[in-house]
Amino acid sequence: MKAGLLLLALLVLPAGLNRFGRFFAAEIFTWALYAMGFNICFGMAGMLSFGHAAFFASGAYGATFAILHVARDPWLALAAAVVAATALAIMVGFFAVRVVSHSFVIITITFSLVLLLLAHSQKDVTGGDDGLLFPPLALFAGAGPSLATPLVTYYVALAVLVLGYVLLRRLSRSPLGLVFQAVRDSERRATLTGYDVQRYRWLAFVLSGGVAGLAGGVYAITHAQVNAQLFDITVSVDAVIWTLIGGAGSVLGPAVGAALVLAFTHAVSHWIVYTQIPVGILLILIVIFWPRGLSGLWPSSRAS
Amino acid sequence: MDLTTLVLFQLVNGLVWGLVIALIALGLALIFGIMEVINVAHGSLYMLGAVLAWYVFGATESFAAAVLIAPVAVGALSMAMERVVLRPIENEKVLTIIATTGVMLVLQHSVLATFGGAVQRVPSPVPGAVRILGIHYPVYRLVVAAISVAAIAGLWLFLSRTRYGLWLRAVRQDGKMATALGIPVGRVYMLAVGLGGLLAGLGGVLAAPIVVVQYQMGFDILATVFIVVVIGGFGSLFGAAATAVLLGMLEGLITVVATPTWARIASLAIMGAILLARPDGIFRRRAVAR
Repeated sequence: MKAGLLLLALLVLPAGLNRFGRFFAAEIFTWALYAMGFNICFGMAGMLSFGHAAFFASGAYGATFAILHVARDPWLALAAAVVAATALAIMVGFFAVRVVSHSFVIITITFSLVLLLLAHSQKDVTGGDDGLLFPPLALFAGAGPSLATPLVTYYVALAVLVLGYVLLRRLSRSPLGLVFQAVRDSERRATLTGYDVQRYRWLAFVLSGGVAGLAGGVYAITHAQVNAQLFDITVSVDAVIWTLIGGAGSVLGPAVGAALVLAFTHAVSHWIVYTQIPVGILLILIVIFWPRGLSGLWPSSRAS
Repeated sequence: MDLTTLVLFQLVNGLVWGLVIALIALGLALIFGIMEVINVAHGSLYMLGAVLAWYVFGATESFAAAVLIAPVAVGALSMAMERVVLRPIENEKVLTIIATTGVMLVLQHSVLATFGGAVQRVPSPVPGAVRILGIHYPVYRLVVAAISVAAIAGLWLFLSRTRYGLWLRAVRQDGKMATALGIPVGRVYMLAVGLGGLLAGLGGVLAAPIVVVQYQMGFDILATVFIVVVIGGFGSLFGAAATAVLLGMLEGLITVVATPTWARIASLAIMGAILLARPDGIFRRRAVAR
């Protein structure tokens, strides 16, 4: 019911927004989807990943490569984004899920840092910091309105976000989602109940990476450009911050966190140029003054 | 340059660079070994050392001043970080990762705000090259190797011969017992983080004339030292130093035939293989040789 009202509000919202407002809202939808995808791994399965930028970025690049080399079809590009990010998540997850707690953080951070280096060094493939550009797409493979129109951008980003939300909500209540939560709450209990904990962790990691990649695909088709900065560790850290602020315990929480923080940083960007400084301070303050709200999420930190 | 000379050159280069990495990785392993804190800001401390070296060298024209001032400044800042940021949450290991990430963001973007984002080059403080083993080798890099070895030896002497060194080792072995025996564990923590920061800062100073100085330069090093400490056994000082030197030489060898990025990916692959072989052993301090 609440979600229905929210959706209704978002459907009519563009009427009250100017050109920039519509683009900015689409931007928020994209990052909100990314944060919700991150939270499959973190909130649902209890693994704190510090490398989700890699999945967002590989999704964005997967979509861009599909557009540049296969067909100028945004929906095909989104499919390519999911495939690219999922493939990467299968690979990284294969190694990462073998360890837990802080070791898991280190492995995910290391993989994403090396991928950042790779993206910067392979300029002829990724375009480096300048990135890759393509002319704005039409909504249906060469037909229909341009994706550079604010209103079209808005509704495309919203549509994918809603799709992601519906899927994640189903997942969180499905038997599979419950197993993820069981693995999060007690590895030993889940093992003794007969679940292959490592395999479920892997699956959660891959699903999470795939959704993050889908968000990256939305970014690519709505911006008509991608660059190596998307691999930056700050993109990974953003997902953590948004989720901590919005709440990891619900599907919508990270999305709300993303919207709040992005709106806040936009509002203060007139006065504060280096917004990452207050973001960093906020991160420190959250863990010092509000750790109880977070610590229930990952069992290993309670145990230690 | 023929192949033998090139291979030799890259091997020596890898050794020198490996020694610098060893300094930085030792700092990370020291902090982890004593507090079980993974300092994500470690790469930023290295970056800060390099930036301060660039600034001090530019202002005083004396590289010796940079070598003396920058690491101490970075060490002092690290001690402040221990006191203010880590002290309240030192029992929550995962939280310390998030908190030090916050520190990383603040440090990086403060440097960006203060010094700008432009890439800076520090001129070699000791210009010229000498002929060793049939290759012309820059003198400065030999100085770097000498200072690194001296610093590692100094750390070893400090840990094995001084009272604070003894306390550090005691806390590392058994924090509770150390507290019971009246060792000021809080001060030991602060000292460990300060020393770790000092080593990272020194690494940054020494690297400044070799690499380009920029506020994001810490990412590259962070990836490298993480790989080093994972392979070397988390918290093992000897493991970290030995792995850094070996990996440095291996990456040097690989750069004969490929770009440095592919060398780094080879290191990552080795780390992956180690993870597969010893998924439980790596991070358990008990499983590593002391």
